Order: sequence, then C-alpha cells, then structure tokens
Amino acid sequence: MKRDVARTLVFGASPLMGTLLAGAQPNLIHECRRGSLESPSRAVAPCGPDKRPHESGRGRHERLRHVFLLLVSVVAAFAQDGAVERGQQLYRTNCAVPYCHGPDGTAGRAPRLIGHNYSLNGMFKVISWGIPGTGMPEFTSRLKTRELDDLVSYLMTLRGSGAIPGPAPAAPARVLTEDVKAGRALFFDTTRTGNCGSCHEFDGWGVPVGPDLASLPPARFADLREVAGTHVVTVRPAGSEAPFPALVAERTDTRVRVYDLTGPLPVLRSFPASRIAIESNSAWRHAQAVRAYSPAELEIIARYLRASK
Amino acid sequence: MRVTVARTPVSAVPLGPPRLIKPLVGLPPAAGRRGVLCAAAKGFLTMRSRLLRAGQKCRDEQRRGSVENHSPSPDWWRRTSAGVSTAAPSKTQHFEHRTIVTSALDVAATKKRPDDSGRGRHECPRHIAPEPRRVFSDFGGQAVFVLLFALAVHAQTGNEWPSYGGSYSAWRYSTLDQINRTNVRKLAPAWVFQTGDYENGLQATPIAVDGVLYLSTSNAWVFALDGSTGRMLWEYHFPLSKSIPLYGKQNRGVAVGHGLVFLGTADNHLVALDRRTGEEAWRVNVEDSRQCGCNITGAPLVVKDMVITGVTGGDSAHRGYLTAFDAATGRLRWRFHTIPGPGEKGHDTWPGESWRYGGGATWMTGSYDPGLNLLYWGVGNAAADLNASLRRGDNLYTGSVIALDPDSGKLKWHYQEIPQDVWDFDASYELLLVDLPVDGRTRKTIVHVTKSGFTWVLDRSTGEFLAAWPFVKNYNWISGIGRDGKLEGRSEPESGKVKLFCPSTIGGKSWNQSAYSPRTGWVYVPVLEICSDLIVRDESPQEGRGFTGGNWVMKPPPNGGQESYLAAFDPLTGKRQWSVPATTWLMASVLATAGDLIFTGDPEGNFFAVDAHSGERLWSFPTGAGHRGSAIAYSIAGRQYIATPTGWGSLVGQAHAALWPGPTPRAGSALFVFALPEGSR
Repeated sequence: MKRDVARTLVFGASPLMGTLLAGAQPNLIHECRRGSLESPSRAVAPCGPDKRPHESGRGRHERLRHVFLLLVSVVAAFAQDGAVERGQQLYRTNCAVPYCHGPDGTAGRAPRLIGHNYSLNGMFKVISWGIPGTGMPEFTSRLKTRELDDLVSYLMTLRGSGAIPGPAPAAPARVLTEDVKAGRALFFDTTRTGNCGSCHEFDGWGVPVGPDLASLPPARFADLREVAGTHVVTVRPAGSEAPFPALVAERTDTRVRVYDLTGPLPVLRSFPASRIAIESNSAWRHAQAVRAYSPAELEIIARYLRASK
Repeated sequence: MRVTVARTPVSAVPLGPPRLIKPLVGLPPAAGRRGVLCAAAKGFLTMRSRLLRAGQKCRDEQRRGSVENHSPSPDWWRRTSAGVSTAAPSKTQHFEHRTIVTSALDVAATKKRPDDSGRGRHECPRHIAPEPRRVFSDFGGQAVFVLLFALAVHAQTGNEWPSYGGSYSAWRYSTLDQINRTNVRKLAPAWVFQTGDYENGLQATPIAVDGVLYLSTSNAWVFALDGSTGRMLWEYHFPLSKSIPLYGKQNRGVAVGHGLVFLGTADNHLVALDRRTGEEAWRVNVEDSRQCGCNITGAPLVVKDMVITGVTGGDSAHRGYLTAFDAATGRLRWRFHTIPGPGEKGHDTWPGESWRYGGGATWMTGSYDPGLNLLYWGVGNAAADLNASLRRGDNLYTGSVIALDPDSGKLKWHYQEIPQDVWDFDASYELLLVDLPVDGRTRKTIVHVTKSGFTWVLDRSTGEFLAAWPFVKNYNWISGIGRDGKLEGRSEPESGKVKLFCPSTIGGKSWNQSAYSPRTGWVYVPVLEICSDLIVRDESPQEGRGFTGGNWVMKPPPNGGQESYLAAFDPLTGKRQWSVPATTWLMASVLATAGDLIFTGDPEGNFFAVDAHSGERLWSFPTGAGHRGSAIAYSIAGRQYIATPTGWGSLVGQAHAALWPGPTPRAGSALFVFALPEGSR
C-alpha cells in the first residue's frame, strides 16, 4: 500500500517534479510507462491525462521548490518500500540464474546490463514483449504488472553511459562462403582432439602456441604438411625422461618454459634452467601435427586460411 | 523388484593399533559393565528410552574400544582395494519401489559375535534407534534399525584427506574419532586463513596430505597451509584470461599426487604445481574456452599415473568429454566423449547433428574402484536443457553413470538414469562406492544421489540397476521409477506453456556433496524442496554458446513447504532416519566422521555438528559468512582438526534472496579450522 501511495505521488505529481527527481535520484524514479524518457537528466514523461503546461516565474518556482522538497522527503520515505530490492530478487531468479544476464547484470550469454542505456520505456517494452528471434523471452505472461515495475526499478539502478546493449561477444559474424565455412569447421573440429585450433589462435578461437597465422602471408598456406617448423627445438630434460620436441616460450637464468609438442595438446612445461638442455633442431615435422586430417581436408583448411587474410 | 536388505550383526570394529583416548567419566571400560548394560538393553527392547540410554552407553563403550588404523600412506592413490565386508545376514527387510514399505524390525539390541574372540560374549549394537523427536511423522513410530556394514580400505581417509570425496569411494567420511559426540561441545577454532579472493565465495574441498592443506579459490589461486598452524607455505595465482564462459569463476578444489598439486581453471586450463614450492610444473589448455564455452570448476582426480578432469558445458552447445593427462608431463593420455560420435555405439540415439551440441558435461568429480580398476563419472544433462525437439532419442550418455577403464579411457559399462532429459537433471553428482547387502549377498554398489531428487543404486561391477528412491518430498517430473529402473509417468515441459516442475533446476540438492558413514550405514543428504517454472523456447545451437532451450524461474512447491533440511537415509531403501530443518537452505557439503558426527554449514554462517544417529544438534559456531564449500577432517601429531571453507557464492547461490526472506548470505573467503583445545582431549 505504501508503495502505491509513493507511486501516486510520483506519477501524479507535476512534470517538473519528475524532472527534478530524475535529475536528483535517477535510481528511484518511477516514470509513466506511456511517456518517453530519452535520458533521465532531460526529458519529462507526459504522465496521465492531466498534462499541464509548464509554469514559469520565479515565485512559482520558489513555491514549487518547497513543495518539491517536501515531496522528495515524503517520496524518499516511501521509496524505501523495497521495489528495487524486490526487483533485484526477481532479476536473480528470472534473468540471472539461467546464465542469461549474469549476476547483477554482469552478463552471461545475454547482454551485459551494468551501465546499459535503455530508457525506462524501452526497458519495459523489451521485458514485456521480448526480442523476437533472440533468446530474450517475453515476460508479460510470467510476471505481474507490479513485478514488472519492480524489476524495471532495479534494472534502472544499473543504468549508466558505458556499455551499449547488444549481443554478447560471439564468433565473428562475417559472411562466410561454404568453402570457408568448411575450412573453419575443420580447423576447429572438436571431434579431432589435436585439431589446428589446439595449437593456433585464428579468427577469434584457438590456443596461441604456434605461429600467429594472421601475420603470415597467404602464400605460406600451401601444403600444410610441408610447413617448416623452424622454431621447434629438442628439449633434453635431466633424468630419465626422453627428449621431446618443443617451442621455447620463456627463458630466464633460472627457469625455462617450453611447449611440449609430443601429444596432440601442447603442454606448457616449466623446468629449472639447470635441469634442461635445448638443442636448436628437431625431427618434428608439421605433418605430424596435422595427421588428424586428410590431404583433401588440409587443402580446404588452406583455402580457408588464404581467404581469411 | 524385491530387494532384500540383510542387516548385519555388528561384529566388525576395525582393529588396529590402540590409541590413547581418555576414559569417559563414570564409565570404567570393563567388559562386565558393558555386558550388563547391553543385557539390560536387550531385556527392555520395547522401552525406547531405556534402550536409547543403554545404546548411548554402548556406543560410548564402543568408541573407547574402537581403534582404527590411521596409518598415513604417502602413495594413497596406489592403494588397492581390500574391500572387507563382514556381512552376515540375520534379518531381512523388503521394500517396493515408489511406495517403499519398510517392515518394522524387531532387532535384537545385542548380537552374538560369530567369531567371538574374547571381547565379551555380547556385543553392543552398532546402530541404536534415533531420537524420535526429529523423525518426520510419516516415518514415526517404530524406528528401523538397519545394520549395514561395509568398510573398504580404500574408502578410508585416516589422518589425511587425500582426495576430493575424502577417498576414491567419495564417502566424505573420516575415520577420525577424537572429536566425537561427547566432546564436540568443546570444539573451538584453532586457526583461520583468509584467502583474499571473495569472488563467488569459497567452494573448494581442501586436500590434506602430509600435514599440509591445499586450498583453491574461484580465481584459481592455490594456497598451501601448515595444517596445524595455518601458516602459509606458498601461494600460486593462475593468470586467468578475461574470457570466462558463462559457468563463471567457481573452483571446487585441487587434487594432490605424484608430488604435484593439480588445479582446473575457469578458463579451461589444467595446471600442475610442485607440492613443496608451488612452482608451476606444467599447464595445458584443455580446449579453448571461447570455442567450447566450457571450463573446469570441479576438482581433478588422480588415478594411477594420471590426472583426470571433466569440463562444464552442459548448458551450452557443446559435446562433453572427460580427459586424462599424464600426471608427470601433462601429455594427453585419452579423451572420452560422453556423446558417441559417428560410427560409435549409441550415436544413433542422437538425430542429425544434435550429437555435436548435446551437452553431457562432466563438471563434478568421479570415483574410482582400484579393485575393479573402474573409473566412474556422472554425466550431465542433455542440451538444449529443456527442449528435446532437436534430439529425439535416448541421448546417450547424458544423464548416465559411466564406468571407464582408466588405462585406456574405454567404456566398460554405462547406466542411463534419465533418457532424453528435459528438466536439466544432471547425473553429475557424487558417486558413493558402498558395499551393501542386497538379496542376501553383498553387492559392490554405487549410491548416486542426483539432481533429480532420486537416488539410484547400481551394481558398480556391471552397471545393473538395483534400486532407486526419492529423497525429496516434492517431485512431479515422473510419477516414479519402475522395478526395472524405467522412468514412469514422465511429465515434460511444453512449448508455449509455463509448467512447474519439482525439484527445481538447482536440484533436489545442489552439487555440494552428501556423506556416507559406515558406522550408521546411512547417507546424509542436504535436501532442497524447491521447484521451478520451466519455459520452453526453440533455440538453434551455436557452438560454445548457451543452449538451454528455455528459461527457468525458481518457485516454491505447489502446496507450499519450500524448505531445506539435512536428512539421513538408508542408502538402499531410502528410508529416512531423521531430518534437521535449515533456517533457509543447505548448500554446503556434508562431512561424516567416526566420532558419529555430521558436520555442515548454512548460509547464515553457522558451521554445526549433529549426532549421526539422531540428528540432534550438538555444536555450532558462527563463522560470519555463508557456507558453500566442503568440510574435511584430518589429524596431525595426534590432534584431529575439522576444516571448513566459508564465504557465500556460486551461480545458484545468487538466487538466495529471491527464495528466502531475511538477509543475503555474506560473502567471504576464509578457511576455518577447529580442534579440541589443548589439554581437553
């Protein structure tokens, strides 16, 4: 009940008060949903049928200011009724738990809401009707009007000027030809443990162990079995372990870190410098690394790499 | 199916070198005295109060007589099973599935020991009837004495807590009994360690080996702490990448073995650290988390010369797998995909391309039976979670328990509990390896307390279905489970409708683990009675992106009664022995000890102990932050410690305020370690 009084006070009060309130306490604002609010610091929502023209004049302003201050204190008292808190709870069960907008708007698979710049009106619309064709469902049938109010009250506390709502970061959305698509699918084919992506970062995915393919000229992507592994060394650990092919990742006076290329997944291993010997040549060949692919598949991958340059 | 439960006379108190335990006041440990007490108990079976009193004394006697082998073993992972079972059936008990009817038993409070070797002609019963006041009314009346005893050596923890579930059998049971029902009231903090990592609280199970505790945090920090003083020996911070999959930063613990500490990270790396120095030995990116949308939140498991880790990804367009790495070098040994690929058996349970994106995450930690040389892992839900329109079929091996040959990574058997899951009911939770008498003979079983609110009991040699029972009161996704293990009366979410399902997508319990005590023969479960509205939506899979096929909203059960409680169950019949209500919900793991104590913590910050036999709350300590981790017990220089992580967090932990009135649980990130004050033991 208290809250209804507060709403009436806010919604039914003069537009000016709305303006002042918006500037003063954007987080607590309850705007008229029919109104449009571009920015809390500026616009005034045309609320209700009794739209009145702006009054002007110093004395009127003075009086309004007093009324406003009085009302602010009343509203502030009533605004403690927990709409934001209830909204936060609704957020946590409806919006955060299924991995969507994440804890407190920090984003999961859906857009980050911390610092969003949705208008109040826009926020109501999106939550009420959803966004067709995306993962955003409608909530009109699931939440009561009061709950929607509460939820929006909370979400407006996350408003800022930083992030612009949009889809969460995804794999590159450029238009791919069928050929390029096939090459990319092979490059990152998870059915092959030890696919290209387990050694190379490219196109936003993959593990950056081997050379940066984006910096290589397209001419380098010919027969992928014949790629020269000039950086590959032979590591001889002290003790009984057999020598293995590796890429040196880091070398200090005391420690050496190398990528062990023995298996299909490179392992970044760390040795005391005194416990390891490094020879600058290796019997390792790239043909070993790509043995999970047929020559025809490698050609498709090479076309993908060339086309992506 | 009729399953016969043999109740075993209590004859086997594991023997070992004697330990000094101070005699209890007023109860000289004379065999004659014990005999008199037990005879009295026998004579007044129907007089519950007398029995309980006598039983208490018998237990005290037993405790003093009970000595167990606590010799630490530096190569615990090599231990072979020497499963000892002393089952000698004396009484039988029958039950029907779904309507578990347990006959009232007139158990003799005393039993003659078949191989009496001079410890007195009469033995006290191991299990005494629980205090009736905490027993739910539907199970009121004559309490059932279920005498089950199956103690396997590899299930023991001794002075250490070497593995995630305590031992390979994942009982979360410590054989230490210095802290027990008599003295637990004196339990006091010995030391506290603050990690400084407050993100998502502290969800780990600390590992205790050779007097050192190894603790991990959500941001992939690892600490080695002196177990008796809390002094930090080293710390390690993994440099997490910025792109963390939607499962977020959570870490449930490390594994220790071969002189290394193994850590899984929120950006899908497996890391090995030198146990003495904390220096990194190796790290491997299990798969680019930007591609798979998966990461490691569970604790790895050391088996033989390998370290094995699962990944999350069950709510993403991802194909789950389990990977074994060489412990010393980090090199890949094998990878087992939980969804069969083209040409593999079971592939035909996935239409079209659905197998590529079918979930089947392996996000919790498995168990291992060294005797059978079988590695067990629970496989998560099928994706899209709530919408099976693209994957009509059984969807193997999602919702299944799989048993692998750890040497090759090949499947030995599987048992699918939930074909074509549409409720997000992972079968990922703990697999308790317990030997139970079934139909008059001891069976090596897996007791699997799952998200669906049901516990499955399987033969762990063959995967044969033995029993299933609900541990929640509110379930409506099925009407029950048939004698053949088939789900009956499935009720599924429907497109365009909002339907309430119980338990919720959080589960009949969350991932935090149950415990099993061989002393009571009961399993202790932190139960959640919460439901959720499921809303189905059509989604097309995008590799590595969320793929839930709908939305869920937590709701109370239809007739009210949203609650959470700690309950003790018979592992085979599901007969509830007692339950203790929580103020809100219980989201921390359970620890059972040979001191007949059950420890857990609540979101309000209380870490508490209850009597394993009755559920009576015996001790509580306000730690100041919510509990979402897993407590352990260990011993150094003859002093027993109980350690618990504190600090609220986790994905579903965020839903607290929406479900329960009152203050939000406090964040934090401290390890509290308790012991009996010096001189009071």
